[in-house]
Amino acid sequence: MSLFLVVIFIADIFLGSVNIPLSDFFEYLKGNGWSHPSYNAIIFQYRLPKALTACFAGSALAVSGLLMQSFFRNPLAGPYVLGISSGASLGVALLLLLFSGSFLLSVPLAACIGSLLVLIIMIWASKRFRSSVSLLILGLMISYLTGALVGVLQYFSKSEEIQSFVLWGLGSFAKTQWIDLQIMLPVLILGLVFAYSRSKALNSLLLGESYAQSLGVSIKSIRREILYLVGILVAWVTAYCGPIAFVGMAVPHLVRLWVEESDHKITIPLVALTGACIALLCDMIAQAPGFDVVLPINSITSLFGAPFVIYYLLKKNRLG
Amino acid sequence: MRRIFATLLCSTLLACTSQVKEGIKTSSKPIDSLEIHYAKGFAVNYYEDYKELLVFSSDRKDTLHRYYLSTEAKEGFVQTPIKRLASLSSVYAAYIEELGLEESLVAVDEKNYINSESILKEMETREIVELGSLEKVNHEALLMAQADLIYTFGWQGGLAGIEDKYPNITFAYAYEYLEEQPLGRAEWIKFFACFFDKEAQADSVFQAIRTNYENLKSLVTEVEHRPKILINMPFKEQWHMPGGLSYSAHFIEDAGAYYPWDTLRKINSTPLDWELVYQKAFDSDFWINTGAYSSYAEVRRELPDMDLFEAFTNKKAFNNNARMNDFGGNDYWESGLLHVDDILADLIVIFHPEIVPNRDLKYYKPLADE
Repeated sequence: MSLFLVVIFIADIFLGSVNIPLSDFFEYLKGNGWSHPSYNAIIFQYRLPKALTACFAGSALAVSGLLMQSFFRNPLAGPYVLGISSGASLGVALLLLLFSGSFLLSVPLAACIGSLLVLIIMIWASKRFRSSVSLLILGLMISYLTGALVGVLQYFSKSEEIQSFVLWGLGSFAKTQWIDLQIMLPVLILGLVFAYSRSKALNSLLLGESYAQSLGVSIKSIRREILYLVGILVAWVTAYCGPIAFVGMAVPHLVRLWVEESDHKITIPLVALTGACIALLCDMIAQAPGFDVVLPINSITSLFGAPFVIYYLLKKNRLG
Repeated sequence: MRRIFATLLCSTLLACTSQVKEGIKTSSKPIDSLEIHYAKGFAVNYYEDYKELLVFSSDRKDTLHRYYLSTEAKEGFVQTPIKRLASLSSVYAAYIEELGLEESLVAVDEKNYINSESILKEMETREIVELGSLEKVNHEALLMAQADLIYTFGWQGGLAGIEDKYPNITFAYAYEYLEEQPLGRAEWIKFFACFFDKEAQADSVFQAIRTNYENLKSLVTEVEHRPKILINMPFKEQWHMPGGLSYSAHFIEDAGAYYPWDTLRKINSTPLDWELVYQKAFDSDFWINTGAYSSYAEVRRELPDMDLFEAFTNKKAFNNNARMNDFGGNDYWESGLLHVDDILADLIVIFHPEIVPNRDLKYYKPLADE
């Protein structure tokens, strides 16, 4: 899997609308420079940060999806069920549509504030709601509420403003610069490591809350930890890339299809690696090598993600 | 049951087909037609006692709209001059001002976007109805305005629903944005004028613009160095690049500069991947029409990749928003696209300051630092 990731990563860097021959890269390594002056920037300033973003955003979303599925013990949960992406989109909508972007606030920051606000509500609610299902419903309701507010904002906005908002909503791995990566990657890596370190507690959750309690795991604290962790991971990814559909939900299923394993010590690294691969693969397809255009990454992830979930459901039903 | 269903289906189909309006049969040949030099999107034919206005599709193969105008009230004819006019885009404010139609104006889409001083003055003296933009027109306000004619931009098949609601209003669809030449765009003033029988006045306005434009253009036809121009801004990784036949491309060429996508032989914009644009235009001399951005700091915050373009790092970026009102109504899209000679003059001042040394910019301004 790791080898596959490396191969895809390199392929992603060398495939794009501008055809940069591999031989050119070897010439560059020898110190001979590029055959076109723009190649250097295209590789190092554009494609490399994009590939790294795709890699880590993919892992973070996929692991968040897995955590949420364990948390709710519901295979259809995903990183966005908490309403976090809706919070982010409300933040961005307020910034772009209401303040016409004139506010001294960047889009990632607005997205982050929006999603953290929703996260705070969810954590507050998690202390009051006993059942995870109520939390799931609350997440859905928050999505509807923010969706309605965004709709009203859109209705009263100019088409240019709507365009930039819609484009944000389509998601993209290409907006990050090296300087953003310096902030983004450490948080995501820490989050992933933390998730891995809690594997044991997560395993006990899968066995049911009462069983976990009998093992001496504090349900309350593990629930809160997962909420914080997923909230921060998803808010962080959404802030920089916009909402990226389906990766989070589909990847854990994909892994389950091919490894019959529920131990988080194994599934977390596997899901993280697969998430990175899938995100890179989708990015590669979105680049549409050889064509002049780029496709929106969200359409690609959904286009490939949805069939997986459908397949999973069909297979599961057949077994059941 | 099946028969009822079939009847329903047939009647629906019939209802759909009968909506196509029958043109008035023209038996005689036109006695004259309006002289049009640059615009390709419309034609005007004169008959004994009426005139015929034709609006063509972008490939000029089909006639999208046909208007019959007569000074007498007749079935199937639009009676001219129009008494009550509604304008569904501030773009038309310049035509209205130049033709002196302010007094006929009864409704506009959004008052805040208008820059035309004479219309603003008119709005102070009497009530002009605000309709809201095309997709979300306030229908009650439109009924209240009792307009005879609506100026609106056309897109093929886009407005049928609204039009059918108002059999008493003529919808004048303008496709001036599909013209290849800037002068072709300006020439649409003649189309608007027809509804008010002011063709002669429109012609004199147009001729003045044309003469000025051609004179300016001749100043730079022989220039030795044609600077490379990057235009518009990217949305995400995508850059919508105007076709080589678009008026934007012609503006750049007529101002003595080089447009790297002049080989795209079409009018419409093409979405291009960021990489492709970078490869071709990273060494552009100027960057124009920077969209929503007015300062280098803003661009650096929202589009950090622009730092890789030489026109940006050398601070050679100009935006066409020098005459933007407090509400975001940009006069470039209003009076600018009628007075295309002034836009051309601006571009020459930017690209070749040595040729027009004592001229100030009107619609353009350099990006500010902060």
